[in-house]
Amino acid sequence: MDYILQVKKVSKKYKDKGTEVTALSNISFDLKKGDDLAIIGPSGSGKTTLLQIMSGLSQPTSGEVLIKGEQVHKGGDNKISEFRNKTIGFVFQNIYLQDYFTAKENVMLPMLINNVPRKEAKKRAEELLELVGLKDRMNHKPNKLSGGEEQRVGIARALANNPEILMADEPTAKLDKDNRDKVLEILQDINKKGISIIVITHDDAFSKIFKNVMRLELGKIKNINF
Amino acid sequence: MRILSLLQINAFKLRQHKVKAMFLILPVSILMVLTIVVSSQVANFKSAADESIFGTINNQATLINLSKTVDFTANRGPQQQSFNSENQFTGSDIDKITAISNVTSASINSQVPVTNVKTTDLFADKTYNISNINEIDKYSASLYTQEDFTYTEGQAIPIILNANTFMEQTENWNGQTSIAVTFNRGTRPNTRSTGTSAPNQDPLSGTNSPIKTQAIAYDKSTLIGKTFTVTVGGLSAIQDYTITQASGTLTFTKLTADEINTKLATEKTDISKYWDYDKLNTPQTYTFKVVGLIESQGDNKTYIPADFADVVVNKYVQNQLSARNTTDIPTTDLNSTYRGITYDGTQLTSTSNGFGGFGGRGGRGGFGGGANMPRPGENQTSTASYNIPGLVISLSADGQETVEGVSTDADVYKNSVKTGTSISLKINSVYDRSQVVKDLNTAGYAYQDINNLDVFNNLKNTLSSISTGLTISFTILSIAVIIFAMSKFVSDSRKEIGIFRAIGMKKIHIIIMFTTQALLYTAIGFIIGGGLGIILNQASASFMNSWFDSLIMKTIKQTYNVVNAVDTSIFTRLSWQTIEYYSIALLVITLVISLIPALRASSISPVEAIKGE
Repeated sequence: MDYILQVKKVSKKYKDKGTEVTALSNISFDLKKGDDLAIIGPSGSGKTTLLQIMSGLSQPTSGEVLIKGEQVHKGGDNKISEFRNKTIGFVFQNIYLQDYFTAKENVMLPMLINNVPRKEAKKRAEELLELVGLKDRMNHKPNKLSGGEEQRVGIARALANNPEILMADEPTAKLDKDNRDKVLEILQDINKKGISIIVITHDDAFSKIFKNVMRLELGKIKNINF
Repeated sequence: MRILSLLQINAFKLRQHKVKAMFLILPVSILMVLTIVVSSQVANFKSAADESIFGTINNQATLINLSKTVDFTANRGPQQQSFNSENQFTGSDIDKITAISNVTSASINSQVPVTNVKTTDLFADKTYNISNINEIDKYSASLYTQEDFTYTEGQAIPIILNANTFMEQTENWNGQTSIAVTFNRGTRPNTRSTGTSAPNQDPLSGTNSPIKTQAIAYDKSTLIGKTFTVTVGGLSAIQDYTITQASGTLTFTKLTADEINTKLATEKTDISKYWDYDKLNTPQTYTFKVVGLIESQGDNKTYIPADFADVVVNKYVQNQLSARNTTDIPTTDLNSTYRGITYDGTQLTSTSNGFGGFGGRGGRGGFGGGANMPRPGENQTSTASYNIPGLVISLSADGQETVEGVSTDADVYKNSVKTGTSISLKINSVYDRSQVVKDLNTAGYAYQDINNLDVFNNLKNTLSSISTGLTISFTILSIAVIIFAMSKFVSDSRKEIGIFRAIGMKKIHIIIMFTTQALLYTAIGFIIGGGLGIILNQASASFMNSWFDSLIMKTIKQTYNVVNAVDTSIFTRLSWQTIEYYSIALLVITLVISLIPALRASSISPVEAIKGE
């Protein structure tokens, strides 16, 4: 079977005021290439911790994560950074566009990190912004964009290096309904292009639209609907 | 990731966050301005001090003017100081002084034996009788002037005037013909001036006295460099009054026109017996240029170049010799009726009180070159005697001073052994000064040295310390500024760093990004501060110039008459050495110091970026 993501017995424990807290307990699941996954669950269920571990931003206490069959946490910081840059696309709840860049420059950033020639990066950024419906807004700075527009720039940035998997942390949490629908639509389009998408969300819309839904509660998989 | 892309990120960041960038740009600019202006001006001050203060000390401290003590409290005042040999330095003093090790030369500032030296165009509407004219060599003259003190025929002759002698005598009879004045022991008028002088009185010019002595007001700045005409020799004007003394009262009696005419006719007859009166009465004329002005108290000498002194005396004597007729003068009349310079074959002395004595109208009616005050028991009714300009009376060389006749050697002054009340000596080097002063005192020449080289050496050391201290301070401040500003940039950029790391930026790129940010901002501060510093340095030059001038006035000018001038553009100079040092230091500091916050930035966990979402 061709898996994009394999999570094997991942646990995460940390100490909080001297007490050991289990954030994740023995999480295992696999995601096929091109599939989507909505991870839902209440606050404190361990969704964000799981996303951080899956993306290599944070190390698991035990267990392992494989993306495209490669161990995410193996190797030094440089290797993990490069892996993240080339393989994973990130969409953040708070978006975090750089205010000194235009929409296009923000999208170009991951490509510049990846040493993509500037001209090429510029062309691709323009294509991606067109894809998310921001053709006319590409030379605007973030302070001239609406929240929905900003998040679409965030999605375009996540797609910059043509990743095989896109991880989104509450991408619609701060958006109104129209913008939320638009973002959902874009994410579905992206998924249709064969890019796997993992979304952490409170939003029920995802559980209705996404093929795979996993519910986390208290660091454990409550149910999984693949 | 390419460095160029990181630089671009910093450039964009700067464009967007100009105010924040000022946290580093502004202090670096200020430090740069301070470094340029302060370091340059400290260096300029050092150069100015080296040229002016220390240069002066080095030049001047190798010179000593050794004077015979003059007691100014004496009731007769210095102008009547008698010319006895005890008050004179002689050749033997020169021998003793040159024998002291490290004394390279010594010369007597001999008084030039000429009378009736006056000018009418130095001070407007005033006749100034130049008194106490001494010769000085060009080395010793540098105590009082920076100009070349040599005589060149056909050119204005340099002269160092003495403000203490800027006096004029006037008469005011208030319509009376006879005035009695109670004779008080007077004190010497204080003529020291700081530019203008208030009228002073001398012992003769009491409140009621018709004879007034007044200081002549002067302005040093206009006086220096001025050329003026001087007449030397000729017969003095007839004194138009008599003074009699009785029990503490001086009676001034104005002569009538007839009495004056009679006196003049008698003088003419008496002198014409042996001289062509008109020729003898014709003074020589010279053009002088003021190159120095002595204002310090305790010094009454006016100086002319030593080589010119030989010339002027030669012409002075020559004029007398050519005015002489062939009739022999009885030796009994020489040095009694006809007074002049006496020469014993070795030294010249004067039969009058001083050669160019204060109050040039002296020398008639039996009184010498001094002011016309009778000595106790004397009245001005003595047999007339005449000061004959240029007359040299030969005395026997056996110490008996027997009058032998009139000397016909016009070079008598040049050939004589000079005597004088002061000796100028030059020391090998400034460092030998204290030893030479000690040796002078051991040899019996009481000399109190007013030079305090320690003070100046301390000043020199202090200046070096200030310069080093400033450089160190600026370096430390730069470190502090860069650490503070970059730490702030890093802590303000935590989210940004987290995002960059989350999307794959490596630690090394974070380090380069912050280091190049520090370099970029520092470079901007460097350029702005550098430009501003250069402008401000130019702008502060005139202030520094006037401040330095006033410092010189308050310090070294108090000790030395002549202070080496500094180039007026000295304070516009830039201390390139310091600027180069600071530029390199700033580059190294920026690179090294910004690494600390940059390393901290690189260690920020990318999880920080997602935290709080």
